[in-house]
Amino acid sequence: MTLDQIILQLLTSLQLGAVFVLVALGLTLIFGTLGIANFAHGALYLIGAYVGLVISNSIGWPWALVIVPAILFLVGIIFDRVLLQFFYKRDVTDQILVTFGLALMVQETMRWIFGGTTQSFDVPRWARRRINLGDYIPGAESIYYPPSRLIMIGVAILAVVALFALLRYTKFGLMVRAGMRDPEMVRYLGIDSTRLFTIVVGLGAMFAGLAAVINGPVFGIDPGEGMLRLVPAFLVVVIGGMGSISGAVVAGLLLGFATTLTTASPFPQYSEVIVYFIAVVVLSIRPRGIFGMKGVG
Amino acid sequence: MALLEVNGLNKSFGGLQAVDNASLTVEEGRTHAIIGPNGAGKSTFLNLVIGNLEADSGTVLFQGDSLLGLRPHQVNQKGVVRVFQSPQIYPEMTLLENTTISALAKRDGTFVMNFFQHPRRRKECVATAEQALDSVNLLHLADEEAINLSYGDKRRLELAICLSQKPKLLLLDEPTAGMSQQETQSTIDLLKKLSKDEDMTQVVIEHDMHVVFSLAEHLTVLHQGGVISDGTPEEVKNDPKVIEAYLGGVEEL
Amino acid sequence: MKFFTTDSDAREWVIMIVAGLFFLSLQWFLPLIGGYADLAKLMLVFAILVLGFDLFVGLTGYLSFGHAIFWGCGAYVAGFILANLTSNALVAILIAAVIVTIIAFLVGLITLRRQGIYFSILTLAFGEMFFFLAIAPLTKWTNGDNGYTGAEDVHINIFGWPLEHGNLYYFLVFMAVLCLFLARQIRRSPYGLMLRAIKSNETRLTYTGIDIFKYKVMAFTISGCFGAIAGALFLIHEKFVPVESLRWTTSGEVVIMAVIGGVGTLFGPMIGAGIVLYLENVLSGETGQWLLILGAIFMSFVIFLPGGVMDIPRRLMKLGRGNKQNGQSDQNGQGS
Repeated sequence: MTLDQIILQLLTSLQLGAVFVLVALGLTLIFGTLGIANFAHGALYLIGAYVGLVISNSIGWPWALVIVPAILFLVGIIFDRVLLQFFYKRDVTDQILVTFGLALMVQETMRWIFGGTTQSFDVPRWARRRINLGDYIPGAESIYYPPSRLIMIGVAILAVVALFALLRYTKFGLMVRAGMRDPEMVRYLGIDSTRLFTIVVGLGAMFAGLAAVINGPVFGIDPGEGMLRLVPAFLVVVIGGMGSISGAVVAGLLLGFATTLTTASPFPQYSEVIVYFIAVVVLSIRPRGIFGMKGVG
Repeated sequence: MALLEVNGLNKSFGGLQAVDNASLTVEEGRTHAIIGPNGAGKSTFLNLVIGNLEADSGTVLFQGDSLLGLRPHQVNQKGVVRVFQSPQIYPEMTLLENTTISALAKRDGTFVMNFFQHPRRRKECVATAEQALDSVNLLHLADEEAINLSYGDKRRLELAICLSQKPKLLLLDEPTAGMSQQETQSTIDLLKKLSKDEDMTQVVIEHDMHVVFSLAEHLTVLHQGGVISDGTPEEVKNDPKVIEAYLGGVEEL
Repeated sequence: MKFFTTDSDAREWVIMIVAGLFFLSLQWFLPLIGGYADLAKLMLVFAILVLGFDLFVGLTGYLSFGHAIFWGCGAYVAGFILANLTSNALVAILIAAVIVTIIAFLVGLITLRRQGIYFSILTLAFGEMFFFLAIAPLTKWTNGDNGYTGAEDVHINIFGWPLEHGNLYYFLVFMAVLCLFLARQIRRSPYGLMLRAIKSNETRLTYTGIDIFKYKVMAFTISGCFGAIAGALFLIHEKFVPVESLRWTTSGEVVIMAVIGGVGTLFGPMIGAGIVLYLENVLSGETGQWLLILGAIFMSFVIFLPGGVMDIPRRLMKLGRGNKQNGQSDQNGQGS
């Protein structure tokens, strides 16, 4: 493979991985802090996608990049206050069931409002027109890549870095990390876990929404997207280790790479299967995931 | 006759030697207590014997068969029954159902697919179950849902569940922890009765010295993973090594 | 939870006969309430599917989202056999059952090494894996996206007895009653009791000498076998397998049916299947949003009536006795 091709594959992997990572981050935050397996996470993505669609097609995609995460943050808070909080203490099975039911309802509501066909995002012309990255990279000749996707990768990186910073350097982040390690202790320290949980759910939703906005222009949106995104997200979380932020990042990138490489390999028809296959293998050999803590699951 | 023989048992976690060359022998029909200050390695010892942890080296023989490498359900099948400190019951089932399942499971210990009812077998199991409840004085609550029991009664149910398995050796994990004076005394009486009436071999891991000296016919003292004393209560009581280990410790010996 | 019922063989026969009669009558009264006769066939097939699903989930408490694997594979295998080997339905069902049972066993061996949510996610992963395998790499066998049409023109029969229309209906009733009987036997047997003990307290059962892993795998495999049979029957009825049959969303439908009917009960799953299919039939005629309504109904059940339809009588009784109950303390006088 030439340098050009390598770089192109790298970029594609990063782009795919970025989406995996962002969706999984939200999920692992919620699961690590609240202990809830949120089967409605795909629905949050879906809401982000359609809201992003509307904003993109009216005032433009760059605005959507900013507004959608904000709206989804609010949606997440509402989701927690109105539904999730009543299920903190209930059986895992019940949590899965109720979030699954909600996911179904959100999907059908979107289908009702927007119809079942695939719709596409309007991305500004300058972002769509492919530029030759070969001009900027020494040794490379011609790599045609749309700026919009570069922006996607950039935004994703920014978001991940911001999250890391938030968790590492703020008091809030400290509480979240403590809660992920030991939920009981956090309660005993007098920290208002209810408010903590609500904000975490908001954050999780925000990341899902961001993932939807940056991914929307690539594949288009239909009501089934939510459910489609859910399983890979769970797999990323579990492969990386439940409740591990770095795990989600590593696993998400891993899966992004695996998918891209398989597509470029002599066996492209396995590009979808590979993700699930890796999940089964990893979970069978190392049940707690790459960065997971012992004793979990 | 020695029922349980442990020889040179070792287990370390990273740099910490949790169990250090521990050896002891439990005679049949005896009540044998294992004591030691906190961190002495009693829990680790228990987990090694019961199949929850893998030993680094040493032997554990039960009636001549090695227990090492066996998984918990396999150790149980040999007749070594663990009585949990925190009662492991079936909450939504009645007391009788709790003990009957245990009796039935015991008979189905080997994996046999059983799709058809065997009325005779079930009757036998119910009889065993009722007897077990009776020996802990819970028979009058046989139809009560287990979740409704008081904590003390739950612990007695735990014991009944273990008894309905017709154990050869009972491994009791701090049987009086968290109990009131009264409950502790009735537990002691109960265990003594079992030992006498059914010739039950009991290995008791305990903190409470009063319980230990009321019950035990033989003592093993663990300290920092190793055995520092082993003998009758009188011998152990006067052993200077034991007194030193307990310096600043729990109860008067 | 009294599991000591009377050991009456006669009672078993009565139950099965009543169930059989009820199934037989379906094709006649469904059109009266807005359904159509053929809907009864679909209901019977799904009844078997959900019944098998609940044998695992209801008894062990483990939530599997991979049941569609057995359903879909059963249908595909049966279709393949019928299209290429023989037109004898029994042969197709048998072979499908055997092959898919082996698949279920292998999947169970891998997934059941984990508990709780991890198990559920693993089953999800397997489900999607099978789906994507069917769509792309295995297109030669499965006809990919379009679904399996290989058995469309086969005159399916049982040793010459044509399996269409009325005959098929009676055959389905027979299969449904048979499966109901088997399920009931399993639930009432000591084996079923051990499974319920697993749901109640795994640790306790392990320390009673039971290798719970073996029991769980067995239950999963049996459940898969039921799913395979249901899938094969579906193929025989529809003569077509939509590739969506393998998706985890189809597993989700099964979950919904089980929950609405009543997880862990004998008749609940079948009732749930009937209700959901009936609603789908009635509602999809009236509005395009029937799935949304189903979702709402499902959520209501999860939130307010988790025991499903089968739990309604008990709830009503509790409400009726409610005012008298409130003053009573425990019989032994002590709280925990």
